[in-house]
Amino acid sequence: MNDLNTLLERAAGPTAAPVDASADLTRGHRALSRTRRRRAAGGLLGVAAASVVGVGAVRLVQPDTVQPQRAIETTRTGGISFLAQPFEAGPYTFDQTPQGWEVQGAYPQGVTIAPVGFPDQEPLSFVGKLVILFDANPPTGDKVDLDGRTFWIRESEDYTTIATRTKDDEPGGVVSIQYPSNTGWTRDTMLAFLAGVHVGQGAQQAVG
Amino acid sequence: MRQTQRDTEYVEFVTAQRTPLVRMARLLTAGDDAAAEDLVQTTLTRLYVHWPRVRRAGNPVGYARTSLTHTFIDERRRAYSRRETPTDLITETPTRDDDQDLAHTVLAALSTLAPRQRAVVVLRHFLDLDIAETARVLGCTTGTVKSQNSKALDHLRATLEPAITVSSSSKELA
Repeated sequence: MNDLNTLLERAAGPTAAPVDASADLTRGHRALSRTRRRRAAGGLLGVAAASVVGVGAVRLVQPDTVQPQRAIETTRTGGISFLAQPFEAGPYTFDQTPQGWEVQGAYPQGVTIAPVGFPDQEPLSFVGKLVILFDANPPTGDKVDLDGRTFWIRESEDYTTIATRTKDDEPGGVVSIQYPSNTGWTRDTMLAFLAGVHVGQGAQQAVG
Repeated sequence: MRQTQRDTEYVEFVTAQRTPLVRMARLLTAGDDAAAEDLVQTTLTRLYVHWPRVRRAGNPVGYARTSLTHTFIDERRRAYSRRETPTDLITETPTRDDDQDLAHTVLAALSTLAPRQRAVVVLRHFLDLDIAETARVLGCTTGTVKSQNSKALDHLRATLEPAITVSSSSKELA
């Protein structure tokens, strides 16, 4: 009979290994510099956005039927606006469009959205991006009820994740959004955004 | 370059805790050493960026473990969208019992667990955290920890036995 702790101890590898902390320290220095630069740039962008409200570039997929301009309402938060303008991306449709962001990739398991001109153009790299995922994992986090639906919110240092179960007329599962915590988007804004995400029949649950 | 207090404390922490974190990451990644190293690097980099907060919290090891676990689960979640469905079967049957083969077999069995179940096994049975602490790290309820732990152990037993018989003392019931 093997104790599981003993098995894991053996599988985990050597308990003593030479450690050179300088490489980690260098990476830490670089990351801290990037973070400080981003924060500084974010402050400037916020000021700029305040002076040009409503003039942001929208490069998201346009809906089949273009909405009359007067029907478009803007929800503004943290320097980035959401237009009440629907768009489609793969099997997913959205009631709101984040101004100045674009779809980088749409696939059966989700959608990746990033700021226009974002350096990392790889759709399956999610750092710094707004990601919509469809899976079967039980949602966890703080529960919030909104308009008859329950949402679960989990906040970490870098990202916030909000999840909800799909509606009755959609494929069964959990749809969630994950976005960087430093975007300035409020919880209410993103709850409203997720409430406006519709999962179509071509969607497939990510495994896990 | 002048070393700040942050640098000094950080280097001290990394020197003492890097190897334990790599071992934890090795189990989480089921023996994928490159992925384990990536996880540890990401975790330690975040730790440095947030060091003042880590210092205030007064438990840098706990902070690092939590961050490592979240990074692992988030990474795996992203990976699922681009990966094939994993098989439930391990391809190698354990036949020898020397340390290396045993480790390989255990890691192969871990790889068949879903990421959260694997995390529960590592937190509960490797780091020896209690249920409440495991739930806190994972951001879920204690009930979820218990059920995930139970399912994970059943799965591990089914995968490993009869070549390796697994006991987990009283933690199964806790």
